[in-house]
Amino acid sequence: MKKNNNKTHREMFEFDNLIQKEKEGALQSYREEDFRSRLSRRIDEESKTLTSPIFWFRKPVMAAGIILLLVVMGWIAAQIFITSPYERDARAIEKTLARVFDAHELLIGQSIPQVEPQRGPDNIYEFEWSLKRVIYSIQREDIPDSDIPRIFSQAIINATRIRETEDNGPSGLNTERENGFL
Amino acid sequence: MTFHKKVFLICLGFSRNAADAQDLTQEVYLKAYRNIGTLKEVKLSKFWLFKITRNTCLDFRKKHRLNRNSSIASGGEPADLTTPESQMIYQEQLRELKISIQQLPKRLREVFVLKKYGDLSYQEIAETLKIKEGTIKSRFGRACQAIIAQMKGEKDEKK
Repeated sequence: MKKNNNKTHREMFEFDNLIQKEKEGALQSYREEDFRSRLSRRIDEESKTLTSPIFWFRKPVMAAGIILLLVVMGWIAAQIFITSPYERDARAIEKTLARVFDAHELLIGQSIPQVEPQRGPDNIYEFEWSLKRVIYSIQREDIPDSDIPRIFSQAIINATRIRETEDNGPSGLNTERENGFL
Repeated sequence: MTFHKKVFLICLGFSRNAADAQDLTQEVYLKAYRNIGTLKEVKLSKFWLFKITRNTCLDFRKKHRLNRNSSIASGGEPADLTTPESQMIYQEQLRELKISIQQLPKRLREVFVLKKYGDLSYQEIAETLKIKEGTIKSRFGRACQAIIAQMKGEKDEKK
């Protein structure tokens, strides 16, 4: 046991000695002046890039610029590719209304008398009210988009007929009601 | 710059030769310069610097793990090695020692290098690595045993 311990101590001493020699050898080749001058040169280089005379070439400014650019690009991409349900509805309505107004123009072209806009209680045109009613019904009934132009066209035709029957007198209105248009 | 020689010696322990150790020392001081804002207390700057040294050396080892053939040389020969034969023996022993250190598990190696190359006390190592002093002592003991066993093994293989 004691012999073993002595052996271990001797081995420890050997590698201790070896490490000591390695350190001495390395310190001989270590040039303190070289180290200092090289380090200060590298620090100078680094601080130059940090504080470049040209404002836009300074690292923090460049980093901030890149971040800003990425944010703007991200925002633009979000506007293009990500649409909220509300935006989708708004686009669908916009598209539908464009078609409806085409149909309205068509009716005018076929010499069907145009519906005169009438102001409602809140100063809103009757035509607008009827459009809104149709939109709310579509939302309530969950009617697919393809039906929307037809429904709007039907609403406009109905409105035109009502107008016509009103012009012809109360008896005309009764006939329309009997025919089930309303 | 008070500790640059100590930092250099710790780097020497982690790396395979003095040239790598010099580059690593530069890296350590550059990192310290860049991250000076993270130093919370000036009185702890010594441990902060040793921690940077340890991290830089471990990163360096990760990057250069594949390059196992790089030369092992101390950079300068110790003065007492006068004959070519003694120089050769020294180089061979040093190579064995370096390989043994490199083969230690990371947690044993860092303790061994900080103690033997950096000449740090157990308390300083504990402060640097944020580990209990007792654990440091036990790791150091295990590291020494592993190195002795490794070197003995190599000797036996040669015989």
